[in-house]
Amino acid sequence: MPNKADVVIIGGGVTGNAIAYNLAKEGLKPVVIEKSDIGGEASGSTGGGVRQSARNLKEMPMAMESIRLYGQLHEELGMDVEYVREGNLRLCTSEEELETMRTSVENQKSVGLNLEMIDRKQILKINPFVGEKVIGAGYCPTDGHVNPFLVTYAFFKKAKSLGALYHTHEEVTDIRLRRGKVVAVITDKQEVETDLVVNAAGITGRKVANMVGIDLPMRPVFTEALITEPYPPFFKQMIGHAKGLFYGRQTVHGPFLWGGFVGTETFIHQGGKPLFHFIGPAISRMVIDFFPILKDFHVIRTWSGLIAQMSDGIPVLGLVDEVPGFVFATGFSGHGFGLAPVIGRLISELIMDCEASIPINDFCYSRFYRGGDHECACKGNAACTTVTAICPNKREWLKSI
Amino acid sequence: MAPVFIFIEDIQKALDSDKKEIMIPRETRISAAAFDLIKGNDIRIRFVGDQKDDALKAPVDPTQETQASPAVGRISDGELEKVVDLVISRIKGAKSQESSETVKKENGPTDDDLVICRCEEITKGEIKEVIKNGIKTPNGIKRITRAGMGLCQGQTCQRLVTQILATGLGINPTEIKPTTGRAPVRPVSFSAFSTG
Ligand SMILES: Cc1cc2nc3c(=O)[nH]c(=O)nc-3n(C[C@H](O)[C@H](O)[C@H](O)COP(=O)(O)OP(=O)(O)OC[C@H]3O[C@@H](n4cnc5c(N)ncnc54)[C@H](O)[C@@H]3O)c2cc1C
Repeated sequence: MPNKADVVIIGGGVTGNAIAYNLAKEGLKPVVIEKSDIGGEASGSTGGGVRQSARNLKEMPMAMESIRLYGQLHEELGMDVEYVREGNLRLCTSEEELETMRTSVENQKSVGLNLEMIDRKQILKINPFVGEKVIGAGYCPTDGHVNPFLVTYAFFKKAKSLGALYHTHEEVTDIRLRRGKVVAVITDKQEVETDLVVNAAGITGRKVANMVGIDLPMRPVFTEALITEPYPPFFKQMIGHAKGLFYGRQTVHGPFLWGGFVGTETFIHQGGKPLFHFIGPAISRMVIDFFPILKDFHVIRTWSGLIAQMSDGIPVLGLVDEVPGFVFATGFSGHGFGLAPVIGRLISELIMDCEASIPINDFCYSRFYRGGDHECACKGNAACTTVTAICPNKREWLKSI
Repeated sequence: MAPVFIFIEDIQKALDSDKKEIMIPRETRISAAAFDLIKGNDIRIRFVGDQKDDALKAPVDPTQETQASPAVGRISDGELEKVVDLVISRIKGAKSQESSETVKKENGPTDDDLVICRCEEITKGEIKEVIKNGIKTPNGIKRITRAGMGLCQGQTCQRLVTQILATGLGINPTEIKPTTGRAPVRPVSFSAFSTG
């Protein structure tokens, strides 16, 4: 067991694995530490929607690149991840919802996303099963869905085959700093010397940030999902709702998966487990309302999960001025799955070259105290001057050891 | 009673006779593997006996336990055994039809060909592969292989998966935490579920 590492990644969810894969491809030997099993938390309970539409506009360049990467994931990772790119319908049932959707569609078009408003007749051509109350939708043809467990597993397997080292069932309990810089990661089993640590700890990302003395405006949002027994193919799109109350799809194996954010449980739960049983029934009512044909289909399983919700709804990425050697990749606010492939690449670029090919300035940690337009540590080469642990020649240095 | 499953073999038959559409009785389940074949070959599925909408809209009274249902949990053990035997022999048949690179053994089926999860047709070999790659929990195995995700929710395979995992990790099965129990205990329709 090595107790020295080029870089330690905390968290073996989809984010940690995507980063590990990209770093291993670059020739590093990242060490991933995961307290449960691979994909044991959010990545193991996620809905698998892979979409660009209805994203925060700041995220759009990343989201669009991620969709491109999803298209080649099968070949790149050597595993079929059941990726289906058949569009996303965001359904509207009132004039008010249509109006909001129109504005949002226009905004998204303005940053280059291909999507449109469609009326009920056009919806029925794409999906003949929607209920009477649906009067229009935002439609993005390049959105889709994927088997999330296989994506996480595929990144894991490939990273491992390229030399990434994994310690599962081992928990990071502390991060040691010397003169303010990261020098080691301490787990319940060992201490690993390193000058670079990536916080890909999902909902626990806040606690991990606390280990180096900084805090995040992040809170858990509780959500539930359910799945039916398999049925013959009905529709292939990802389904969303104008107000984001529920979402769903038919998986390639036949079952319908639906999830949602309805009922009071969103705020009331016990350690990520439901206290009451309102959400499942509430989701079911929406399913019947929007897809009456599913009324008598059988639900066979329900589950729940926590979403790492940031105060401003977008993730925290990149380096931190205050703590050289500490890198954020957390706070995905309920849509980290769609972004994972691109996040893996960008964080790896940042670590290898001090520059991400898609600017991630808007996502840096210091946005929370410096406000809008500021120079952040994660901006291109600025990293190399302000963050000395990641020296300009980290790559050279790595080659030399 | 309607057949419980449509298997790879049924689809293969249709393919061999150049059919592009298959009629199946209402309430029939399609195995995941067969489903892939259907998808891969653009085969249309039609429910016999009724217009598509009617077939799927047909009201099922959830309180009526006697209602014919595709639920594995509700067929007798004897029937289940038969189905399992069928699945095993059919999977072996289908495997031998696959291209030579995926078929490694000429000397007949091995222990790894044993179907562990009957609902999803997952073999021992597939489960062992995932364990070999470093997955160490029944929940992890379930997510990746789908073993235990089917209609019976792992009632039949959970114990076997635990055993395979224990062997793989070289530990005692009692040290392994079972998969998380998930509601509902038995399949329930959206209409019934929606009333909470
Ligand atoms: C029900 C549900 C539905 C969702 N649907 C979608 C969707 O349709 N589309 C979409 O894009 N996103 C969706 N999301 C969000 C998506 O699942 C997450 O954004 C994504 O999985 C985040 O991945 P991650 O790797 O960052 O976090 P996680 O998967 O949570 O991984 C973090 C890992 O870090 C480990 N860890 C934490 N602390 C420590 C420590 N101290 N030591 C060691 N290990 C540690 C945890 O065990 C965990 O495995 C959904 C989420 C939920 C819960």
